[in-house]
Amino acid sequence: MAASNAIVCEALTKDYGRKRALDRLDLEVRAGEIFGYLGSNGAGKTTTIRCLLDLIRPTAGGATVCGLDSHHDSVEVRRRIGYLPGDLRLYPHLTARQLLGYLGRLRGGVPGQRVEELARRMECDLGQRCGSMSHGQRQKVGVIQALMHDPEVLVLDEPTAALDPLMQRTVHDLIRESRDRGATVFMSSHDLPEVTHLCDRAGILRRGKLVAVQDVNELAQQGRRVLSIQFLEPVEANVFERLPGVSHVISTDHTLTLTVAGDLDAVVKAAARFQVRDLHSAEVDLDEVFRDYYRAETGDAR
Amino acid sequence: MHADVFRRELADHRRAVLAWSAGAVLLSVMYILLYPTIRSSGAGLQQLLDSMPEALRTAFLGTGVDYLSPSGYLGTELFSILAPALLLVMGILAGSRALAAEERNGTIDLLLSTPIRRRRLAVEKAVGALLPVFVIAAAIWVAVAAIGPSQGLAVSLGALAVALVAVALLAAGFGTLAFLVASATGSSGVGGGIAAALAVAMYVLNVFGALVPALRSFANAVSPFHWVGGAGVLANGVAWSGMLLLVACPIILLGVSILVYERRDLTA
Repeated sequence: MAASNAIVCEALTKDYGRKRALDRLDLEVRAGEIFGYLGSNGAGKTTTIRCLLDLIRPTAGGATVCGLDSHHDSVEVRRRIGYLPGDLRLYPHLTARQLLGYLGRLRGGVPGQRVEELARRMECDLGQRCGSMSHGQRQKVGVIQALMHDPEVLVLDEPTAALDPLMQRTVHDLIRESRDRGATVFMSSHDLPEVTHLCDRAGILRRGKLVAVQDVNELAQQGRRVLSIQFLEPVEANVFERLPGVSHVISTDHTLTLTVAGDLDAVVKAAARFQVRDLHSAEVDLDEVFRDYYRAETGDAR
Repeated sequence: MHADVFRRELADHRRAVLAWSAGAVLLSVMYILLYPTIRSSGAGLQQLLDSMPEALRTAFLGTGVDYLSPSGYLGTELFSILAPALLLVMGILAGSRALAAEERNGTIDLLLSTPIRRRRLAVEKAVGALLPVFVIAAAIWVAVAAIGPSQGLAVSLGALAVALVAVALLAAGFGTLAFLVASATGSSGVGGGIAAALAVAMYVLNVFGALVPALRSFANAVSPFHWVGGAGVLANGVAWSGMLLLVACPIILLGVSILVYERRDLTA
């Protein structure tokens, strides 16, 4: 099992004083996949990532990367990781080329050709001082330094933040190419379309716990539907919650919204016991599924 | 990996080191050029010094130091305040910033995502930050060696070197203390503040040790300024025990820094 998982978190727990940032997090990222790590700000995404890099140490539990302990084998782990920090800061007095050279030497040397190629694709001027760069330009340098040593595992914290749509696409291409040559990509994001578009699987983090892991392709192909049923009388959600294939039941006043996997028979028969005013069915949109989790998290009303 | 962090640290501060060295040389040259004038007005000055209370004279000149002799003059002017103050400020500033600035500026995430051990990072940062203190000390030595003899300041260059090394080690010690506190708290301000406060306290303790007999043995044992030897450093040399303590302090403090830093959560 260990061989097929690039990243494994086991009961990973991190407390900051009395605040629990990660709560016995169990997570498996398979080798060779692009895993999207979703969650709102403060959910614990960056905390998880900084634990993997041994920048912070878990209060309990642990994590492995390529089968290596994130703390005890940290140097070996970091050798295999290409990391893009969420809050990327560069050395303002160095040019991009100097910075990449420095980081490359700390990695025991990186082919200059690869750096030049990435710079060309990212349209990044390597001669410019980091201090005079815009946010987007700095992000490009960050992407280059994460990719330049062709790492086995890419850990990207919000990789496309601050990039324009065209450059986002370039980064998406680079991420896919990394996956295609065998690398594993673990990327956090709060951009739902990006995750559904780019990732193989996605996990949703809420208050330090992984609340769902979805296979993005499977989910899209599963023929899930979102059913919205309007009743004459208010109907209890629990009537539908236990039905086979039903999830994400949300009851508001007279309307019931739920997601159904497979055929609709059981749901329609259950609904037939009440007076139905309207019934609406739609192909599931992954965004919707994810948004449901967010809603549960933030307590927003529909 | 060939000490890249160390070299980066040096490269980042080469202009500052150059400026500090130039300043130290300029001040040293100024004192050297003043020597002929001071010596020619010797009798009156010696009278003034003799009229000072014994304790006060000892406190600022050291015991058995002839102020007007080359080693007495240089020892007093260079080693009682100027060189220690310059090197201490430089050492404490550099030591407090070396690692903590990476954390405050948020570059530590990038730096420590490379396969470098925290232990190694700490050593390279500390050595890279504090080596300039020795460079500045060497600049002072060159200034005195080059210009001193022409102004009648012929002192033993060996003794001068030993004295400067002792002062540089003193500065490195407080610089490493600043490094320790800063890397333990992630704040260069806290590190620099605590180290500077302790340096002043130790200086004052050394002065009081000379003035107050009851304090003397305690002050002499505890204050690193006494280990260096103060104004009498050129005339009397540096005691082996003092030199040993001066060497041991930065090494021990660096060891503790590593232990603390390796166990810490780094602030994002």
